[in-house]
Amino acid sequence: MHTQVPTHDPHAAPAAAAAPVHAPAPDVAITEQTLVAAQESLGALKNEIEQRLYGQSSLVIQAIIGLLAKGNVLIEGQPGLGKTLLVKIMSAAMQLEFSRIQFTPDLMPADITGSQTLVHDEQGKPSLEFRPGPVFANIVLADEINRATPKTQSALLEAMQEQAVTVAGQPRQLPLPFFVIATQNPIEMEGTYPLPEAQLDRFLLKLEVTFPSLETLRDIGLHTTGHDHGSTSQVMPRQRLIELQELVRQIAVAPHVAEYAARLVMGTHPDQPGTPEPIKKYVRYGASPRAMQSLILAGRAYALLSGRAWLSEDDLRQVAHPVLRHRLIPSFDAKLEGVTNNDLVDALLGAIAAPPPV
Amino acid sequence: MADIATQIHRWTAATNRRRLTEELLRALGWTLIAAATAFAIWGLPKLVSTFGIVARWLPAESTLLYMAVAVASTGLVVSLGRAIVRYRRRRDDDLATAQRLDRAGGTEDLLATALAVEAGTVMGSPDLQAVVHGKATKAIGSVQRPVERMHAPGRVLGFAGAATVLAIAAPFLLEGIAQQGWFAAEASESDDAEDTVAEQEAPPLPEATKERIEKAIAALQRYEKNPALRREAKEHMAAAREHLQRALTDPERALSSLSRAEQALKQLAKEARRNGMFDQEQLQSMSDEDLTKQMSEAMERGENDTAAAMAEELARRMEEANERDLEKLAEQFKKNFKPSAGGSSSSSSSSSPSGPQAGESAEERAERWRKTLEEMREEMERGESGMSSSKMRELSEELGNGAGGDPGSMERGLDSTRSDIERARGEALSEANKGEGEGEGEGEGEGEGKGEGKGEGKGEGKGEGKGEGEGEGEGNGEGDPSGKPGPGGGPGSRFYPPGGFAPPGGIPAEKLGTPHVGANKGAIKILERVSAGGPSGKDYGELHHEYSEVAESSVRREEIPLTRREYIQKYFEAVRPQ
Repeated sequence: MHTQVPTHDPHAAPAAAAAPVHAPAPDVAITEQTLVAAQESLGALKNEIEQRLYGQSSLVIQAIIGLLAKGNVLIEGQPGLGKTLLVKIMSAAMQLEFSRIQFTPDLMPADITGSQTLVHDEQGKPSLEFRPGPVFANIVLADEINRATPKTQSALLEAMQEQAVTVAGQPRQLPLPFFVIATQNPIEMEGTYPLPEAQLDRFLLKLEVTFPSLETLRDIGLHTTGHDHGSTSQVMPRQRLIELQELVRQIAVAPHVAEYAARLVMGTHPDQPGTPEPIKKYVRYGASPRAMQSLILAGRAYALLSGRAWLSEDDLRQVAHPVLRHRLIPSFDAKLEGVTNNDLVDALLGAIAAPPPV
Repeated sequence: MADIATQIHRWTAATNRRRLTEELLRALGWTLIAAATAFAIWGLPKLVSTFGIVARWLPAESTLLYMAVAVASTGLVVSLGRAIVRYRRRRDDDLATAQRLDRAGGTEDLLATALAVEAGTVMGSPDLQAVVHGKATKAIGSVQRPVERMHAPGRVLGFAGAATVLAIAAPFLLEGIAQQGWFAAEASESDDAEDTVAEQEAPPLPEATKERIEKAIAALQRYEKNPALRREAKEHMAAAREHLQRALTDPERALSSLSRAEQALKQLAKEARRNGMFDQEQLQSMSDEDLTKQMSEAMERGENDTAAAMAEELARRMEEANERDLEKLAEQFKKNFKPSAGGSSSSSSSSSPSGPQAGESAEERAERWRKTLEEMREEMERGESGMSSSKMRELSEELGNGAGGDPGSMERGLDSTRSDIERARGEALSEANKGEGEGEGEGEGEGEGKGEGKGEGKGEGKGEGKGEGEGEGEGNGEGDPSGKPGPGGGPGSRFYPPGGFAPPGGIPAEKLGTPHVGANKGAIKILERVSAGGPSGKDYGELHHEYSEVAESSVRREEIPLTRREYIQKYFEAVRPQ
């Protein structure tokens, strides 16, 4: 005989509004003052991260763009370049809850989302209690995401897309802000499950961590091998981050800028007229409409980071590489001839010029 | 709120006006250049003749005029078309102006976005719009009037001006230079070696030569009076006559003048072959009286080709005439054509032969024609236009057929005149070659002729012999049209033919969506050769490309595990042609 077991679930959708982890959407508007204040807040955050993460200024800016745009970020780089450190510093600087999932082939979806556990109350009455998994955090670091099976990967990807997980048929809202940073190791591909192109498209940005310069390496050696000089300062409260995310959505986008974004995305398709020759030759499939949304969203975040209330075509060019590089599917010829996706984005930006001829 | 749009629109309009002006100036420049070129083409014969050069390679004046008009009109159309295309490409709209200002001022699309805000195409709260507009207003206040400076097409206009001045001034300048005789020697050299001799010596023309020239002038004067001639033909004749007269009056230039006269007649002959000698419109405008009178005179003079053209016109008129017109025409026939020796032919018309007879003398033929004309007159008087017109056509045909060979026809006459001029030039040249001199040397030569000369020295002054010569010629021919069909066949195009290669995994190429032209290239042999360490040439590269395309499509199928796709890619990387 089947016994209905009562459940206790603080993350269940009906209770989500009352939960302290779900911050309400703030009522903020872009004014001269809010723009100045936003630039100050973001500048402070950037400085705080850069003080502890040496030589990765570009990576820091792009990670902040991902955070502001409410997108998720895939970071590709060799081990030991500071990927995990970046996430830790970011969460500490904004007082966000942080969790890390090390992906392995035997990792199960429930290990990420959480599961229901049978517990007994004081009277010895059994009940099912939801134990949230590591995905219930503001910043989730999915380390080496390509080592888990596609089934487990898809559990995280669903959480990224919906900002909710479903356990035992019950949808559960994830805390806001919610931000996933997944990492991939470009070497040691044996026994991995590379993310399919459709899954890659769910990441707003793909960041590449480059090897630091000699001077940066020297600074790392000097400053990080002694005593710890104190913990990271909290420079931006969580609520402030949510306000900034709201401001990003208000950045003005003129039709000609949106058209430029559309032309860029259209230009990634080899079968479209006016597509640059290298794209026709080396790209098998181009970027999706979601790529265009991501381009504008990331551009808006970049505009806010620059203290502007409007999106410019230059903003789109600035974010084109991290937004488009993982959305172009190169042909065999590109791989054989050593043409990288970054080269293809360069070719695209070179061919589809924003300014009209003077 | 519309301040920015208004300001930017004003600047855009001003910029566009300047660009339009620039393009129109450029078009004007090119048009002037084209006009100067056309003028030069048109005036080329005069220019060349100023220096006494006989340019045999030049086309006729009418052709040059057509060429000049074509050059000028093409220049005008192309210049204007180009100006329109260039202006449309360079023309800015307000957005482009705003973007240009943004780039110049480093305002990152602020003005362009503000334009969109003013146009109401940007979504956002009033606060946001106020922020953008406020910043844009501030930015535009610091912009200097951004209308481009006028970039007049200096080089084109300068070149056009120079060409125009040259075209206007060149004839006068060159005329002056030619009169000074600065280039006389050079021009004569380039024209003809004969002229050099003539100018150095300038002996008087022999009387016989003068007579020939005068005869040719008289003939040309007579031909020029022919009312049926085409205008161009008359011009050529007049030009030839003027050159002949100049040869008489200016012995120093006699050789070049004779040469030009000869050239003019050659040109006339060339055009006559192409367009005919007579002007149909001119003939149609002549009255019946003039036409019959001129035809009669032409027949008397033996200018049968002229008479044939007039007979053709008379035949046309007969066909279209009513009874009254036929009567009038018959009167003119009676008045202007001489009657035949045998009187009225009404009784003998049926028996007299109407066509040319074998062994017929010129007198007999003239008599036959007279009879035929009388018969026509009588038929016209009876109102029988059909008979008379067909007879007139037959007469025209006979006159036309015999015209070329008949002594005295205009064509023959012109040939004769040209021969006279040639002979006159030869005589003048011989005269010029006579001279005093000294010389020593041995000579070899064969030739027929006689020479005379005064002089001192060694050598013989007379020689006789047979001539030898060399010549060049060109030939045209046609090949045997009965050719044989060539061998057929050739490489075909098909999917994976037997003996070729098949895609891996038996996946048909059609399903993979990979275009493939699978001509048999000996894929196995190529692979064997490369695997044995042979060079991986172009054929291997093509083979590799085709295989990798098939593989690339197939790895996306579900049967291939994700973890194995990388192996396939690495495989093709490993076997990539060097």
